[in-house]
Order: sequence, then C-alpha cells, then structure tokens
Amino acid sequence: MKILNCPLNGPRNISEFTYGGEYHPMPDSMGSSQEAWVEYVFFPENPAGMVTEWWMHTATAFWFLADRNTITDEILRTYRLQDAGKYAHDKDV
Amino acid sequence: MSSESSPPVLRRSQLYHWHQQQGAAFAMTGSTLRVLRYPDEQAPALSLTDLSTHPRVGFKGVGTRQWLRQLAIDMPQTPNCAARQPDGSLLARLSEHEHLLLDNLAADAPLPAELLRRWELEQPSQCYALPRADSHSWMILAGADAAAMMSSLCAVDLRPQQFADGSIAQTSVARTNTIVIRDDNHGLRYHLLCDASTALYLWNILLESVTAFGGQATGLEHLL
Amino acid sequence: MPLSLLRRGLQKKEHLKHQFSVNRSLKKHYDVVIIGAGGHGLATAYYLSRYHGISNIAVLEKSYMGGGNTARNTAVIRSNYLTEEGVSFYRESLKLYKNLSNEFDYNIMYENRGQLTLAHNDAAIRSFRWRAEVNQHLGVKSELVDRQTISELAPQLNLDEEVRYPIMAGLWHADGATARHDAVAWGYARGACSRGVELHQLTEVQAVQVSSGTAREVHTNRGKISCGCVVQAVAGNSSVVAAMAGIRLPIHSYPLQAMVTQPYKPLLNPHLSSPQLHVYTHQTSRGEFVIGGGSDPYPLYNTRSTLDMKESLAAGIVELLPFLAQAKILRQWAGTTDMTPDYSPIMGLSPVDNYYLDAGWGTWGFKATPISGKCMAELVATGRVPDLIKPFELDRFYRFQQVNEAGATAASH
Repeated sequence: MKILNCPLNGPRNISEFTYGGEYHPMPDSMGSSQEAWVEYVFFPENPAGMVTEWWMHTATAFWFLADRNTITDEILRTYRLQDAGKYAHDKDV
Repeated sequence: MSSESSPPVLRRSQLYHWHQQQGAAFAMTGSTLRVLRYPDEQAPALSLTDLSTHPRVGFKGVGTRQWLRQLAIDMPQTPNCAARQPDGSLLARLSEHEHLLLDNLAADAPLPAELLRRWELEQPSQCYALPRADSHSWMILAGADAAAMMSSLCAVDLRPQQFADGSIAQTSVARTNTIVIRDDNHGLRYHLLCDASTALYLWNILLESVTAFGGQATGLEHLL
Repeated sequence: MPLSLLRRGLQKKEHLKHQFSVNRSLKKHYDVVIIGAGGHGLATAYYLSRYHGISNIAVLEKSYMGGGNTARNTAVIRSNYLTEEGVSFYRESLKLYKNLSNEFDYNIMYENRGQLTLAHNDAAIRSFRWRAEVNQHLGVKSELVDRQTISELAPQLNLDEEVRYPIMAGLWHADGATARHDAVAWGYARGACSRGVELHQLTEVQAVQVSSGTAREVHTNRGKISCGCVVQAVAGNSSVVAAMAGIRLPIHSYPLQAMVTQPYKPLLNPHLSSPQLHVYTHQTSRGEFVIGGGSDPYPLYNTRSTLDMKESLAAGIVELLPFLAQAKILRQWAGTTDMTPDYSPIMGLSPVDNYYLDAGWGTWGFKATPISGKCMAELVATGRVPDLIKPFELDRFYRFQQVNEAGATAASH
C-alpha cells in the first residue's frame, strides 16, 4: 500500500486519507466575478505532473497539503497549510 | 447522574444486548450498567473488555491548553500522546488543541467530573467541552499478545518497542476509524475508541482475533 | 469460413490488404485535424467522410489506434440515464450501435444482453423508479423488477438475505448491450480510411498554435500541419491537450481499474451492476467475466494497478456471484476517466473558434461512440451545434446548467 506522511499523525497507508482536490487560493469573497468563482469551483488545472493538493487524514479529520506527481504517483512532500508559502515555487525537485 | 456537572454517562453500552446474550453479570452504579464478568470467564491472558459506560469528556479550541495549564493539569507535550493523572484518569491529546479525558478502570476518578464543573463555572475563552459518552464506544485490550493480535487488524506498528506507553494512534482498525492508546497497567494494554455506530462490528472482529490468540471477552473484575 | 482458411493455410505467401492507411507522410494542410484515434475520433472522421463529403482529414494518434480508453472500457452499451438530455443522447447512440455491423459491413459482435442494476436499499429503489419513469417517457426500455424476476434474469446471482447488502430490487434495461470494443474502432477506421481519411499513428500532438482566437497549426513529433479546424477526442488526456490550445476544462482525471477472470461456460446473460458494492460485470462471449468498478480515490495519469482497488472489486463481485471466489484473474488493467462535475460529457464549441471539444468522457465514453462521432461530424461540417449535444457544451458550467447524471452511472465515484 502507498504511504502518505501525515504532518500530524506520521506515515500511514493512503487508504486512511481522503483526497480533497487541488489547492488554489480562494477568490476574494467580495470583489470576485461570477466567472472567477465558477473557475475556482469547477475548473481544476488537472495537470500531468506536479500538483499541490488538499488531503485529509480521515481518522483525525486533519487537513494538510501534499505535493504529488500525477504521472509517477510519487508524493514529494506533505506539509501544513501555514507552510504553503515555503514550497510554492519549489515543485520541480 | 450524581450531579449536574458530571460527564454524561451512558446507561447501557452499545454492546448491551451482546453482553446480555452472554449471560453477563452486571453491576449498577447510579443508573449505569457495567459488566462485572461473564459466566465462562477463565482469567485469560488476552482479554477484551467493554468500557463504553465509563465516564469520559473532551475539550477543544485554541484556549484549551491555556485553561488546562491554569488548572495545573499534567498535559502531554505533543499531539498523539497521553498523560496519566494522579487520580488514575488519562488525558489524551488528540491534536494541537483537542484533548480527551478517560476515567480510570474503576470509574471513580474525580477529575472528569471536576473538569466539567470548572469548565461550566469558568467558561474559559475558546475552549469547548465535547460530550464523548455516546459519540464513541470504548474497549480495552489487555495482555502480552495484544500487539501481535493487533498486527493483523491495524497497519500502525503497535509493538511495545515501537509504540511507547502513552502513545496514541488515530488510525484504521479493521477498516474502521479508531483511536488506539497504549496505557500499560498490569502489563500491555490498549484502549480502543471507535464511532459508536461501528461498536458491534469492531467488537465482533476484535473478539474473533482475541479468540484466535486463546483470549476471551471479560468483565471489569478481571482488569481491576 | 473454413474453406478460405484452408486455402490461406496452403498458400505460401499471404497477401493481406491493409485495412487502414499506413506509412504515409503528413501533408502540409488538412481541412480537419482530429486529435485521438480512439472510437470517438475515428467515428467523427467516418461520419464526416461518409455523410458530409469531407475527407481531407488527418486523425492523429500518439500511440496506436484504439489503444487508449477504447481498449480499456468494459464494453457496456446502455441508455438508462436520469436526465432527459442524457437519456435522449444515449438512446440515439444505442440505435446507431444496433445497426453498426450493417453500416460497416463488418462484424462488431453487438449482443443485446440487457442490463440489470441492483438496489440494496430504499434510496436506490426510489432512484430506480425515477429513472424507469424518465426512461419509459423517452421510449427507453427500463423497468423496476422484483427479486423473483431478478432470480429469473440472473439465476447465479446471490439473493441470500443474510449478506452485507441484500438485493432488494433491480432496474432492468432490456436494451442494454455489449460489443467488441476494438471492432468498433476498427470498423470506423476502415470506413473512414476507405474514403480518403488519413490515420497517422505514433503521431503525437505537442502544441496547438492559436492566434486571434483561431487554431492555425498543429505541431506534432512528425512536423507541423496547418488546419482548417481541430477536433479534440482524447479521453483520459482532455485537460492536457486542451491546455495546448489555452482551454481549461472542468475535469479531474482518475484511473479506473478493471480485471477479467478465467473463462467459464456460458451462465450469465445480462450485464450486472451494483452501485452500492461499486462493481459491475458481464460474461463475455469468450466466457470470461469482465469486472469493473468505481474510479480510483484520487486523480492520476497512470494506469498502474493497486491491490486495494482489486481487493474491493473482488470483495464486491464475490458477494454477487459467490462461485467467482474460486476464479483465477487472467488480466487486469486500468484506463483514465476524465470526470466532470456533473458526470456528463463536454461536447461542442470551445473558446477557440475552430477548435471543437469531445471531452469529459468519464465512464460513459464507449456507449456514446457512434452518436458522438455523428454529432461532432455534423458540428464540424455545418458549424451548427446539433440539438442533441447542445446541453453538453462547456459553457453550461458558467451558467450553472449542469446535466446531473451522477446518480445514473454504474458506480458512484
């Protein structure tokens, strides 16, 4: 079984986790157009390659981010939301 | 209930009918029923016991730790660790802020009721009480073979040399979400807390494995 | 034909005629460039060349013809969907399928088996009633059946009540069918190539040059082509190819794993599907049981296998057909499902003027092959979006007019 490393609970079987979609900053709730919201809600990048995603450790309902390669299925790293900025430009490792 | 601020306690376990079918001898404390023993019990080396009617209470919110510190409660330093309290109750830290307090085996520790009473009085900022009596079922697995038995049901390595006393794993046991807490007391013991709706399922699965290791379901007397 | 087999066997040299165009160099310009030589791309080329007199067409395929999801689906043909738009569309596809062998003069091994979807709870029965009503209203054979009828339709099915999810009722779709999926691609390719369409395998599209909102050139590993228009029909890679033309799509691509057992004597006629157990099966004409299920739990562009998905398929199928517990698994594979938010396809116009979309085929692509080809051909030839696919245009997401078929797919995802 594939292992995902939860920042709170440590390495666990991937079956203990729930995929939560791509990570994108939310549009400004006041000023954004309907189109921007539609694209935020419905239109993922769905890239073939590195992507930053939300994952949840189901047993603890703990949400975190993972950088994953969607071609090789390798998980590059997992981290808490507050560390998102640290890795934003570092997905080509 | 003895007083308004005692943690709400289940009167009957989710496994009550199972216990009844086995001809269990119950003890009644207040209006709460606890299994003392089953007729066929033979002091097994590996035992599974239902603690679902034991008192327990949770607290969460970013103000939780500050409030517990004010009360001079011995707190686990990191998430997924548990700390024994002087009265025998066990404080389990489930996340950054969420804590779960489990009563001792005799169900006579004053701290659960005391904490809830203080919480109601003081209304600490950003700390919320979590009723846990009917959200979770609670079982305890005791015996030297417990780790070996769990290895076929749970992917986390629970062997004593890997999973120290006081460690917590919130994980999947027999494909159902379960909180596993190692809490040695007369030998190797694991508390298992699962969603109340999955209690009978998990109990039957655990019991099948316990039986395979020559163990039995026991009442409280066996543990005390 | 045993006699011709004997004659061929005695011949020293075999002179086989190629059924498809091969070894051609790319021309500088094609009126229509179709990306993807799967069922949908080839069908589009076929209908364009046969019914619209357009044959200056290149069908580009990065791998080999029909080797993507056309080869990987579980060959289920049905039209018992939930929405009026969905049912009408798949109904027309089924009609075309019924006559496809005659249309091609080439056997696609179409078999009308019927499809039985199983309800294990009251909510499923309610939704089956709803689907049956919608289906019947639109002329699709679909009815709610009881356990007695189920036992007659599929005597091998485990109707025991002492199981995890006892079978309570079924949705019987007498029109349900299957066909040899490769033959569908081959039939379309043969028909298109005989009318002048060029099939270029091992020709990978690497870029689409768009200027002033119009696709001008398609860049491939074999050179550049100027194009009158482009049709994208690359199920499993829709987002990646569309991005080359600067188009974003509301798609997540998930693997879907399937497997096949050893052959058995014929014992199961209809397709069986259990949305609750996330499993569906039918016995092929070779005797094997094809077993499919829900998509993987997270997106991936990779057709690797995982033990947990295989375990879940096996657990589900053994509940339905307990004798399969003894079966040996002969093959397993995966396809990539381009899942849309509403479980309906994305067809028609795109933000680029002459770039047409045939995408978002999730788990419903094979059954829609003929009608998609026909509608896409009509769109390319006339520039007008056929009424049948109007509800599926990309723009529906901006208008919040999704066509929700989430409840009518074989396995919820």
